[in-house]
Amino acid sequence: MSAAASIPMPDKGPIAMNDTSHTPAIEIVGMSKWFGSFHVLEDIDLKVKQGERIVVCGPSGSGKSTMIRCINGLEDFQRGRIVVHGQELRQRARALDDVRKKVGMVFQQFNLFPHLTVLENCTLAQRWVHKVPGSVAIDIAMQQLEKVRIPEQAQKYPGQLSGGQQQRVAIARSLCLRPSIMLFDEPTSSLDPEMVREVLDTMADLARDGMTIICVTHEMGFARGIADRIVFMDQGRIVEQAPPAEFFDAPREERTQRFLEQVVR
Amino acid sequence: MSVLLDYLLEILQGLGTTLSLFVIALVIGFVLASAVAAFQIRFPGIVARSIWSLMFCIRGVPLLLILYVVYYGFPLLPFIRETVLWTVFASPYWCAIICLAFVEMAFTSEIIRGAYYQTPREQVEAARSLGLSGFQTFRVAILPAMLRNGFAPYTTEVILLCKSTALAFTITVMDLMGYANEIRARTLDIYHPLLIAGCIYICIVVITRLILSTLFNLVAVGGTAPEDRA
Ligand SMILES: Nc1ncnc2c1ncn2[C@@H]1O[C@H](COP(=O)(O)OP(=O)(O)OP(=O)(O)O)[C@@H](O)[C@H]1O
Ligand SMILES: [Mg+2]
Repeated sequence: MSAAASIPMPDKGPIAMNDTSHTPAIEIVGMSKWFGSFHVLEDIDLKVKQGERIVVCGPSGSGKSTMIRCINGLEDFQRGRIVVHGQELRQRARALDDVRKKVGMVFQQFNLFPHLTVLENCTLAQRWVHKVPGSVAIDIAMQQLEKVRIPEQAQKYPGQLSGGQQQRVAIARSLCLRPSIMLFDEPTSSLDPEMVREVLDTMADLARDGMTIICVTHEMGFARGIADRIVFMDQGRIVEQAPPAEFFDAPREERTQRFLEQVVR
Repeated sequence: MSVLLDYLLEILQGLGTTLSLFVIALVIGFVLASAVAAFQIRFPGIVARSIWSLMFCIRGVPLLLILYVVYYGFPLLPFIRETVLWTVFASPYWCAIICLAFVEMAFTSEIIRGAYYQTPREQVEAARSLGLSGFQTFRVAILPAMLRNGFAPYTTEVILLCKSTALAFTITVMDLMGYANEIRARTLDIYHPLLIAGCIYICIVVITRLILSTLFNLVAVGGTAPEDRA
């Protein structure tokens, strides 16, 4: 643990970015995206401050996944701008690599590498991308696995873990790269109910540590508990955004009200 | 009983030929198939479709026909007969290897391509979102998935190739089948030499499967070897 802490790491997230703390973590301006002729995202504007926790919700097919996938370049877009920590996403090819080093992503299906152990999953990108020496990478990985409360599973393969455990490993794997922003795409949607809690708790820990978070989820209790702001999307547009109290208790848009009637009951 | 032993020893003279036809064609076929598949994946569209059509034709033609064209037909072509190519094509053994490798290429390239396109997109995205480069993504996400997806069909293909080598005797190559057939013709004892050869082929197949699944388990720990259906 101590070895990890003593290694100087630039680009380490909020701490290293103190001089730019006034710049937003993410700034999306007038972004539009088409799949062929299908206009999947229309004129998206979203500004996320550092340390802010955003929950994105909306009906299926409204473009939630597509929007957050654009933020780390898994999807491209045709119009508008996305700026991550002052780094414009499309200026040059290297920009994408730089952005990915700052942005961690957790998927609905965990997407661990099945032929690697939990520990190897967590050390791989550290060694290959950040060129961290092996023993340090292991220290960092164990530290993160302790944070998600499964250090004892380090030598197992993903297939030997429960869904909730796999998702926590996926979170740890991202955290090992010291991202300053974490994106979650429905991280609990493919979990059995009794495992949802453990993953949400892990995410709440992250939020408490001041991580910038954008999370697509339908866990409204979680949204109410940790979100600073809730973004509601429908048909490729951001329909409404508001702090949770306002969003749940006094939604302005008629579309939001209908959605909430369906979800919260 | 001692007659059977004599048969066995005589047939076994062809074992080395059968094994070398098999292994050399397998290796050459695999290397060519990898190149063909990589080319198709790298250049989708018209290039990939043309290559695919060519491979489709090769797969559609009986191996025996290809053997006859190469062994009996190529010597009629001056540019083969009068160049260094002749040193290769004059030998029935090398003709057989070339034909086997050629057909193996056509089948294996399709297995490799199929395995590539079966790679879960999510695995690739996970790798990319961790910041891995294109090559690193290939190593950690695509290649292991290709092994998992391609193992069973490739095992089947390898076993088919092993048995296809027996066709080489039709162009005078003296392999297991060649010796068994010679005994049959000489002694008019049909069952014994052929059954003995059949047993040897089964042994080769069993050992081949063992080797392949051992190799698979060496490189693809974590995921267990899928049940092969050869
Ligand atoms: N690769 C693609 N090609 C074409 N259309 C796509 C593609 N990916 C998504 N879409 C379409 O874009 C729309 C938005 O998809 P997206 O996955 O972003 O929705 P979502 O809000 O995340 O929905 P869900 O809640 O079901 O996950 C959908 O209509 C979907 O069919
Ligand atoms: Mg989605």
